[in-house]
Order: sequence, then structure tokens, then C-alpha cells
Amino acid sequence: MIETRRLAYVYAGGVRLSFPDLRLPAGGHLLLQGPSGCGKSTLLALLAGLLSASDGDLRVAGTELRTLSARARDAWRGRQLGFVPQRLHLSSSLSVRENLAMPYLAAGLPPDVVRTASLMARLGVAELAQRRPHQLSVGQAQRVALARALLRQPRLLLADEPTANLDDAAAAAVLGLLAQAAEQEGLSLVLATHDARVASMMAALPGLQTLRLEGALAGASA
Amino acid sequence: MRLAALAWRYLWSRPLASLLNLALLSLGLAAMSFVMLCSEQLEAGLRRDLAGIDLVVGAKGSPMQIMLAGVFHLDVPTGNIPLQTLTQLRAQPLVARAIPLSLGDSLRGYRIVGTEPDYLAQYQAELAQGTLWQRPLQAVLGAEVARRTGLRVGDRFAGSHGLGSEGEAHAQRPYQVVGVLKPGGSVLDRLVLTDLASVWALHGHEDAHEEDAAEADEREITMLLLSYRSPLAAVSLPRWVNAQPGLQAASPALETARLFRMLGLGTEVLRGFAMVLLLASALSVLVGLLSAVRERQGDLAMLRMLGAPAWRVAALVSLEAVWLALLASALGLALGHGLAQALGVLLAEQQSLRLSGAWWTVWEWAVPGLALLLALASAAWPAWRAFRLDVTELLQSPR
Repeated sequence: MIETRRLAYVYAGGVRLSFPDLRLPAGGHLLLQGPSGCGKSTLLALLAGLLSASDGDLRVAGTELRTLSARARDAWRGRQLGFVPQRLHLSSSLSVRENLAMPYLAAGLPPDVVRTASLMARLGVAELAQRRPHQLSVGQAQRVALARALLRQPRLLLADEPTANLDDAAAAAVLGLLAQAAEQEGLSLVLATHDARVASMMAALPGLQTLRLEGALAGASA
Repeated sequence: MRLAALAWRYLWSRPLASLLNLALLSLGLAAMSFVMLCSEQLEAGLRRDLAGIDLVVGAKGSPMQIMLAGVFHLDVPTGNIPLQTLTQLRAQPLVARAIPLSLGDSLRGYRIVGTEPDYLAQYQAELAQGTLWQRPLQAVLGAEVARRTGLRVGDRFAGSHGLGSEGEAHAQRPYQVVGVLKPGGSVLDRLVLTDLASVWALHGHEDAHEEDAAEADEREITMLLLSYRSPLAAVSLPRWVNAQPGLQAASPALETARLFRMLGLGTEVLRGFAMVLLLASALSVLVGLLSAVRERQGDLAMLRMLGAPAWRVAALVSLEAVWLALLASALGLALGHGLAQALGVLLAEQQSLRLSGAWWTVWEWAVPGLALLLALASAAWPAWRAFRLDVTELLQSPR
């Protein structure tokens, strides 16, 4: 699912960030650990095709990202990648249903009403369709954001700090939701976190690899 | 949900800023369309009143005054000219048609014009009711006069002396209404037309003891409207007229051109005012959109993250400006026409120029065009900011 070789990214200031080689098979999951500033965000941006690698190879879901143009990477990202940002980023101007139309709008497609309805029902947010994000509880908002990420049936789901600012019970609930989604949709999870609880809570997830980044001099551990 | 629909939602998610921008833009466009409507309409109205009149002949005085009094019935005439002038000019081979006008009396502020049926023919006027006059003291009313005074065929009225409404009434010799004209949008709408002899009959009666048959040839008219038979006449006729003692020629084409130049200053000032408003609104839209892009950075970045190409996010921002432009165009045009209508009602009460809100000119297409142009120009920078949005900020931990 993800394959990197001598992947490196050079920042505008000339600082070079090298990443350890990684090989995640289909059906595998990745736990990306490390403190802030270790390059976690950069690796996520590279995986999402937001940044273009300066060096090395990066294959995600069967596509060599370096060979794609910026436009093609946008289309690829919409099709293959689901993303749950840390702050969820549901649009406060729009209702839940309208927020769930965004993945289609981004691609210039008409909304898939059937898929949206079934996913909302599965995630237990069907009754919230007319609500605004500020009228949702944290858990409900998490589910809506997850639904938005899953709508277009991606092969890879990136979750950035999914447990930040959550108590143990809520964190376990979110991670349970992600694991369940991964199983039902048959996709690979990439969890980026500096939260130590995630590793223990996800220990039972089959096919989980851990990649620990330690700042600019990154080292790998299995 | 389409991109345009999303832009609409975003527009109204900041109602105060959007309303302010909308108000500014609409006012600017309203001023613009108002100026356009008034100047175009007045010009078209004046041109219609000219109706093939090539020369106005009146008593010595200002040509502008002669034209205003004789063609548009806005000013007082410069005096009277002998009736012989009519026969003299009709004898000229270069004159196709000469229409005498005799002014002096009025009906509730509407001028009573003694003339010949040719005057109606000049404007292709048609009767809505009744007939033309057969004898002196029979009158045909213009459409507006009939509507405002409520007079109908068969009614009698007394003309009052002078062109204002305060003159002394000729109560002993009332006019009889024999016909009413269809509204034609020309100056005839606000005139009372009668036989040339009516005026002599009225005033002759009062001065009966002074008049004898020999003096009949010293009867006077106020003006003559001439149509040329050939363009050559424009060279020689005015010169001939001005050479006659007591006669003055006024060329309506030249005088209206002068008039438009004088009015032009007023419209330039209004147009400048509209431009300032539009510029201010463009700046306000720019500032509004910039802050909207900053406020919605997360939303826009998320759209990119969901696979939207950069141009689509930039288009979203521009579409918001396009919505504003379309709304403001509709509001501005409505307001401009409303203002023109209001001014028209005001002017109608003073029996002055005709102006209506229900009048359209092709130039009004410039209003939405200009609005779109301004909106897109103001949206350019915000849209560029959206285009260059740093999506990786989504991945940074909150500070």
C-alpha cells in the first residue's frame, strides 16, 4: 500500500529531512509516532501528495506520486485518500449534509446520495443531517468527519492526532471507530500521533506497523 | 451542492459584510443606470420632438429660447412675427412645409397652441376621440392634458391669458373640446391645439373697437416651424430669415447640440459620483473577500485535501463576487429605474420634461457588465490567495 525508498524532503530553508524506508503491504496499517517537529506532518503531506518529494521514491496505493502533475495529484488524493484532520475542519457555515457533499463538490461530481445515506446510518449520524457543526458533540463531530473521509471509498485513511484532547474513553471510542471503518471498507489506516495511548489501544489491530520518527535524524523501528 | 451554491452559502455566512458590499455596489450601479436612463431618455425625447423640424423662425432674440419655446414648449417665446412671413416663406422653393404657431394662452399651465393641422401631421399624431377643429375656438387636447384636466369631447373651458396658470381667464369666449389625441410620447401630449384663428378671435374680440378690416394683414403669429425641401436650404434659408427685420432663425439641430453640451456637465458630475461609489465598493469587496478567505482558510484547505484542484477553490472565491455583482446589478437597476420614475413624477407635476422609469436602453447592459468586471477585479487577489493556499497547514498542530 505504501512503499518508500530513500525518501527525503528539502525545506525551502535548505534543511533536509530523510525518512526511513517503509513497506506497508495491502491490508496493513501504519502507526506514525514521534514528538512535534519530527517530520510527521511532512511525511503525511508527502503521502497525501500535498508536497512533492525532493528525493527518493514514494508509491502510495500503487501510484508513484513523483510522476504525477499537481492537478493529477489533486484528483488522485480525492479518489484514493481519506483524511481526518486533528481539528476535524467541518465547515461551520454548512449543515452536516452539506459538509458531506464537499468530497463530491471538490471533485466536481454530483453527490452520491445513496452512499452518503448508508454511511451516515452506519456511523449513527443520520439524524444529524440538518445540524450545524457547532450543534454536535465532539463524538458526533468525529463521526461526521470520518464519514466525510470515507465517502469516496478511499484505499488509505490518514488520521492526524485522532485522540488529541480526548479522555481515555473518548480516545478508545474514536480508535474503535477507525479500526471498524478500516475493516468494513477494507482500507489501510495511517495514524499519526504523539499520544502514547494509541499504541496500546491499537495493539490488537492486525497488520499494524509502527514507524517512529525522531526529528531530523529519523530512525526506524518495527 | 454545486460550487455556485456553496459560494452563495459562504456569501450569506457573513451577512453584515455581504450586505454592506451589496449596498455600496448597488448604490453605485443605481447612480450609474439613473444617469444613463435620464440622459438617454431626455435625448431621445428631445430628438422625437424635433421630428423633422429643420428651422424655427421667431421674433429677434436668442435662438436657444426660440427653439425651447417653439419646439419643446419649455421657454417663453421671444415675441411675435407678422403673419405675412408665413406666406413669404411658403413661397420659397426650398421650404417643404411651414407650420405657424400662435402662443399666448394656456389651460391650467398647458399651452394653448393656435396652429394648422399640419402640426399634428408633423408628429404623426392620431386622434383617440372626436375630430379635428373645424372652426375657431374648437380645441383638440393632448393625451396628458385630457388625462390631467379630465376634460372630454363636448366639454367647454376658458383659456387663461399668459402661459402660466394665474392669467386672467377669457371666460366670455370659452373653447369647446372636439377631439383628444392618442398619447404619442411627443410634446403634443401636453398641448392644447386649436385653429390659428382662435387666438385672433379671442384677442380680436377684446380689441374690436381698435381693429378695422385693413389691419387684418397685420395679424401676427408667434413662430414658424420649417421643414426643408433640400439640404441646400440649410445654407441659404437661415441667412435669408436673419436678414429680414425682426426675424430670427434657430436651427433645432444646432441648438439641441448646444443644450446637450450644457446638460453634459451635470451628467458628468453624476457619473463621476457613481464612479467614486463603484470604486469604494470594489475596495470594500476586495477587503471583504480577503478577510473571508482568511476566515475560511480551514474550509478551503479541507476542500483541497478532499481533492479539489487549486483553480476550483479560487473559482469558489470568485463566484462569491459574481453573486454579489448579479444581486447588485438587479438591485441597482431596480433602484435606478425607481429614481427615474420618481423624478419623472416630480417633473410631470411641473409640466416639464418627460421621464419614466419604464424605459430601457441597450446601454443598461453595461450595468451588469461593469458590476461583473468590478467584482472579478476585486476578487482577483483573494482568489489568488485561495489558489496559493498552503494546504499543509491543515497538518500542523494547532498553536
